[in-house]
Formats: sequence, C-alpha cells, structure tokens
Amino acid sequence: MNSPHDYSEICISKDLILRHLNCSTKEEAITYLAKLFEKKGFVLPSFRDAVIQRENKLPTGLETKPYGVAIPHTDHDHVNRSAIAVATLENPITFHNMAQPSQEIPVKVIFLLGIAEAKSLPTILSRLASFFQSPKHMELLIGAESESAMAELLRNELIQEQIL
Amino acid sequence: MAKKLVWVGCGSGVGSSIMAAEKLKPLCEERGLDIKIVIVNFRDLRGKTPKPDLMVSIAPGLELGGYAGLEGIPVVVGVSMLTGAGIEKTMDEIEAALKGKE
Repeated sequence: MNSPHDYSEICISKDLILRHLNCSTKEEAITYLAKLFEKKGFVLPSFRDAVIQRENKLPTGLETKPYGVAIPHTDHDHVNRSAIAVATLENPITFHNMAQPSQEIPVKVIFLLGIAEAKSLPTILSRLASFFQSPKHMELLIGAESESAMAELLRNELIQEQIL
Repeated sequence: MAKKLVWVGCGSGVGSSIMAAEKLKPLCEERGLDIKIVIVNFRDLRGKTPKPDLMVSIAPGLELGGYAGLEGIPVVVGVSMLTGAGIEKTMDEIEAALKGKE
C-alpha cells in the first residue's frame, strides 16, 4: 500500500546527528540537538524552550528494550521544515516515562522531532517507532561508525519506498 | 459492528499520537474492528464533536484530571503502540471497549 506522502519532505542528515554525545541532562541534550535545527533554519528560536516545556509536562521517554529512547517534540507552530535530529548518548540520560510520567527512565538515544505540519508524515513516524522498537536496528544505530552511517541507516529504514 | 470513531490523542496532536495511530490501524484491521481514527490534541477536546466511541490516550498523565467533555467514554492508554511492549493487552482493552458499545 503506497503512501501518497512526499518522502523528501523530512530531512535526515549527518548534520543533524550527534554521536556519543556527552552531557548530563535532558535539557542540555535537547539544546544541542535543537541548535542543529536552528543552524539550518528548520525551526524558530522558540522551538527549544517549547520542546523542553512540553517534555516537562508530557514526557516522551519510552521504555523500549534494550535501550530507552525519547522522542521530544512540540507544536508545528515552532517548525519551518520537518526533520529528525538524533543523539546517541555516551552515558544514558534521565527522562520521564510517557506511560508513567512520575517514573524516571534512562535514555540512550534521543530522536528530536521537528514536525512542520500537523498530521503530516504518519508513515515516517510509524516507521521510526518500528525502528526504535527493534533491538537489531538500535544496535546498528548505536554501533555505527559515523554520523553518515547513522543517517544512511535511518534514511533507508524511514524514507526509502518499501518494496513489498 | 458499525464503524466506530476513535480519538487518538496526546499533548500536541503531533508526533506521539500520529505514531500510535499508524500502529493502531493495521492492528484493528487484524481484529476485524472497523474504525475511523481522528488525531486530537488534548487542548482541543472540549466542545469537539462528534464525540468518539473510544479515546486512546498517548499521554496518561492527563488522564488523572479527566478529559474535558468525555465523561462516559472509555479511555485506553495506548503508549504500548510506541514501546512495542504490551500491545496485545492494549488491543484486548480496545476491542472490549468498542464491543461494549454495541
């Protein structure tokens, strides 16, 4: 079943990836990632604060196995162009659990989502969920040798047309 | 079973609820559940019509305060769609909630 969505709309690039990021709080990590979006003009200056505020009210940490992930994001008002920025963390960072907001969970990979249009890109987001639910793919991502390799892996899984 | 209206909602109506809705569609098809999904933002719930047959919540933190205008409508937490763990249980809850409305 082919989706009519324009896959080229979402940007996944080595410039939006931080490998082995070394920092201690989710605010720091989100800030580093948001800066990558800002540099390319993908988001408004208000984006970073909006993401952090939302994260504190409605956490996006997910207890996927074997590594916890987080999918921070905010309203499309703050986003010019859809893109996904990724950080694999040197040491896991604490986020709160989306399923149980009072619970802290360790997160190894952060996918910062810049979603420009509400209700667009459902196929890509669904594939992203499949990706981080797959231990095999997460190992490949975390063990990748470069940002380029990570970007290629993600683009192949998320954007390429699936041959059924 | 008549077509049921299912709202899938989170705090921004983007991201989490979209991911969950995409996972939900084929799972419902598998179980023969005929549904129409509408993505909602918790902020816009009050006054939104038509009311759904079921609310699937991707942000359970808000449940405690209740969902504006959704009294009497079953709510199932759907975060399992995103973690991959406990999906069958969630689908059992969804199926029971939808069939309960016959």
